[in-house]
Amino acid sequence: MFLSAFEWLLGSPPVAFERGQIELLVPWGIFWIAAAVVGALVFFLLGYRRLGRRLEKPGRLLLGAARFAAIALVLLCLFRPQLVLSLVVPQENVVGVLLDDSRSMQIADGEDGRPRSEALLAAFPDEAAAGRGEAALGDLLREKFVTRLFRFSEETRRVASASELGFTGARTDLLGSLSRVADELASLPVAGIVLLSDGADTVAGGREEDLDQTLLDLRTRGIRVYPVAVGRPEFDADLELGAPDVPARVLRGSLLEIRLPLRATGLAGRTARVEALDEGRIIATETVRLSGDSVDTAVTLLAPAEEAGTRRLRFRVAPFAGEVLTRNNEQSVLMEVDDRPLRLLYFEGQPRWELKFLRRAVAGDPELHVSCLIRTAEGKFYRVDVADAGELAGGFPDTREELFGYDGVILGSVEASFFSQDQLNMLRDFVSQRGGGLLTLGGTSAFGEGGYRDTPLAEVLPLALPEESAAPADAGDRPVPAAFRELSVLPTRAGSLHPVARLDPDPLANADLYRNLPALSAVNRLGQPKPGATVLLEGLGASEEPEAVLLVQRFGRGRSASLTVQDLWVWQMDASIPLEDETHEVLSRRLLRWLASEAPRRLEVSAAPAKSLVGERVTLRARVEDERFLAVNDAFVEAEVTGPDGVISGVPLRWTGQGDGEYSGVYVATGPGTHQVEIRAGGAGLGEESEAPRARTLFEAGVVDDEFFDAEADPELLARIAEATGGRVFEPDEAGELLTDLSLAESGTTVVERRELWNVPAVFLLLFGLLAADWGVRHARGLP
Amino acid sequence: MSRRGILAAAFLLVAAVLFGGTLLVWNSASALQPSRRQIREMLAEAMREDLGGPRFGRPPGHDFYFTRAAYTSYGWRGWSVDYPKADRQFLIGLRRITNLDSYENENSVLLTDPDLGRYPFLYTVEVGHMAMTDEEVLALRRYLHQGGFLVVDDFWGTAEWVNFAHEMGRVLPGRPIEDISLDHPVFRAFFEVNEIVQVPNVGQGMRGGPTWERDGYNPVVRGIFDDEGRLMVLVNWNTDLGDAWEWAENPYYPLHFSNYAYAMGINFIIYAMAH
Repeated sequence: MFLSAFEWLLGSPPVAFERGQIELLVPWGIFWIAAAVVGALVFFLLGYRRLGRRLEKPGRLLLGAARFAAIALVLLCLFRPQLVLSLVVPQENVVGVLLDDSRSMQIADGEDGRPRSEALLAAFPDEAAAGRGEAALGDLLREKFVTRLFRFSEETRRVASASELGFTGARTDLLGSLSRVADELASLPVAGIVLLSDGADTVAGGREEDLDQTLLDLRTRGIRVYPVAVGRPEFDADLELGAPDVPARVLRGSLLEIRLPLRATGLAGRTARVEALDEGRIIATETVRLSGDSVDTAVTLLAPAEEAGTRRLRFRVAPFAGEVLTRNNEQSVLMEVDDRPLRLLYFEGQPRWELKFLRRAVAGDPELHVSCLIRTAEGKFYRVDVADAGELAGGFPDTREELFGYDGVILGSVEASFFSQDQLNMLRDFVSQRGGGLLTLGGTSAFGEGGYRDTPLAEVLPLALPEESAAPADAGDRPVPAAFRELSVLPTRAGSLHPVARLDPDPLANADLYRNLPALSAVNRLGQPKPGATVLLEGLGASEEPEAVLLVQRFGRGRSASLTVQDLWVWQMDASIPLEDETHEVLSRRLLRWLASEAPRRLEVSAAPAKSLVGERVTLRARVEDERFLAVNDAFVEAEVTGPDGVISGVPLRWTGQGDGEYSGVYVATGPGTHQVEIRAGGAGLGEESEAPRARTLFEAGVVDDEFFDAEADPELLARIAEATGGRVFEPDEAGELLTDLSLAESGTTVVERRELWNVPAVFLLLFGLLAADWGVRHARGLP
Repeated sequence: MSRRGILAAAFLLVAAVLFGGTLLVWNSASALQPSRRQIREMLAEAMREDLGGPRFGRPPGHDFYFTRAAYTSYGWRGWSVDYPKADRQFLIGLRRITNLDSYENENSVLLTDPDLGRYPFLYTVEVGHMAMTDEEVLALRRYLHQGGFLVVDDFWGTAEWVNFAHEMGRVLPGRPIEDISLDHPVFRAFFEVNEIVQVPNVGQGMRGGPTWERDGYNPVVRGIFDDEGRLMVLVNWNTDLGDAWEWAENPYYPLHFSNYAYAMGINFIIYAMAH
């Protein structure tokens, strides 16, 4: 309405004024212009003076302004203003048309449940269907331009007509397609590119730099992109599961913490039951109440990893009635369940029950091996559960090779002065560089009481050590510590969701489990948890404020945890604990597994993308470290990829030159299915051939269903493309406007058109209005 | 002098020499060994002056409490034999030799005490006269299954063994009491122990008498194991480690018995706290 009124009044659409230039075509010389302006001014001033005496001030001003404007307008018209436009020459220019051929176009979110593809096919009907009803965009374009049609999804291909589209593309590579089409049309006069898509790009997602680069490239070539948006930016009712956050490798018997993003629109008040399945068996469920109309949250599922080997985990939510898209209610992920035991070192500065009961707790866990070293007297050590006669024979490790061979270290009640400065630094590096886990336990010689305040380990601890800590415990006389206190332990909110402290999936039942356990005791004076730490268990003693009992944090590549009580074993031995109760065992195992399970190995590998298309390049990456966990750049690294058909292919991996110890190689999957990748590294510093580090990973080819996730139309991306290239976004029914816009191209083969502006209705109406106002005022005041 | 007279004189002379020699030997021996009366007095004195009876109400916060299991028995012998001097004397050595954070005094606990589980190491003696109530049996069974460790000491001979074995049969039915060979890690937890020594009671030890009592001629270390092969009960039969600790400071008590008893006791504790 506005546009057509604008065009009637000014003779051209707004876009023409935007693109074109306004020039004055002055027929006389500058002398005459000046004379005319001066004459008009004199005439005006004379009339104004005469009027002055007979009229009050506001009336004078109004009358003066109306007359001045009328004279100015007439003068302007005498100078012949013109709109200079550059218009494309019909049939001389090319318009590239990009048609989205991806699967997301099948989504039926249009009116009456019509798929997005229908809007596209309506715009570009077959020759046979042409001429019926309203003019389709394709027909209008063909009248004025030479059109080149391309279909695009993960790849871009020229097509003769839209009927060749099957809407089966597994990905939408919007930006890649744009630049490929721009390349293809580089030698032709291009009026612009019309892009029919839902804008749901599944390739560039998040790659801001690529987006900017592509758009800049199009802009410098002067190619405008005119997106025609199909699909709706928000579904009426839909639930979507995001990509689950699952570690690529997990230890058998571990409780897996899976974060599953969940998005729901239009399902307020409904309840979603999320199920996790391992090869068809439900291993975890979680119920989410969808509180609002638009819910964007993450569900935490705790699932046991029971069987070793390659597992496919599936996650699903039963579709709701009226959901537009149900394919996005499912997700799947591949995971490697490992049965190589974790190696931990437990060092106690004195014999303590904690060690005995911790050993008993992990005894039933084949994936945990805890070597124990106990200092039983000054300079005397007792080793338990060591792998061979050589392990820990020299006491606490004093080389990186020895210490870094463990995945986790537990420090009991041992004073800092026992360690050399090198050993303390090594322990810190064990966590920050090697990526191991460190668990510190409360005790008479632990934390501040053990003199750790100004040591490198104080950095690693998840809590601060207060200044007024007692002097380090004397080895001879040990009075009862002044800070002795009993604490009733309860899980925090974070603890109720954490795989270590969550003994029951229901937070209330979980808290009850802890409430029924006997109080524990602590002897250390402790400061506040550090900002990055998470408190999982807290204890209530005599003071009102609860204090942290179990807290964890990341430190560099590794993990750090502190258990501030000194007698967790009471939860095993107290008379109130039923004989069959497993709380102490479960908690201990989970804590140690959590502590050490993410410790990187000397060879870490990954394959990206983990879900690829057949024929797509899959990048295999490896990070290689020697026995001291220092990166190695001159190793020999080779991958063996076993396809689903059992065929093994070797892929050499080369140092990337970008990061220390980082290698990569490329593999192209020739068939669909799960591919196993085994990588081994050899060379200097990596040990004997038989001990050379090996690692496994997997990827899956031919199962990409990205198109159904995050599948709402993305008008923002389309608008951004249009704005950056100088185009505009149109709706499918705005074919005429699009054509006008395209016709005003600055690129391609064009002719210059001058449009007079003095004769447009707007000038006449304005002049008429001004004179009418002048006459009206005079009439009202009784003036001549 | 008649021939008969000469024979009589010779006989008298020999008799006098023999008697004098015997007297001499006897006297010199009694100068080294206290008499039974002296020993009795010494024990009573020791009990009176430095103990002041057993103490209850242990302060919390220590890693280790040397704890006596108090059980029901028949006759005058029972759990409190040598208590608390043996315990204290042993603790002096334990605290000096190891760096264990141990409470310095004795600690006794009834088997039916709800706090029994707070002391995962129990020492008990004279089990030849043990006659536990059913409640005690249940409490001890639960304690041992939860991970508690029991050391038994100072009972002698077949009759006492039969009684002990019967009582243990009530606590852990079906679990045999097996010999522990010298290559078991318990003998190397702190000190290296290469032979099982019979430690005599204080009277016989001081007087240099026989080391055995009743028909308990051979010292034996036996044990009861759980399903995972972990030691739950450690049995010292035909030996009395407690007396060797108790009288370790007495110059009349042979040092090598005390040394051995300390080595055994410390090994038991270190082992119990690690396994």
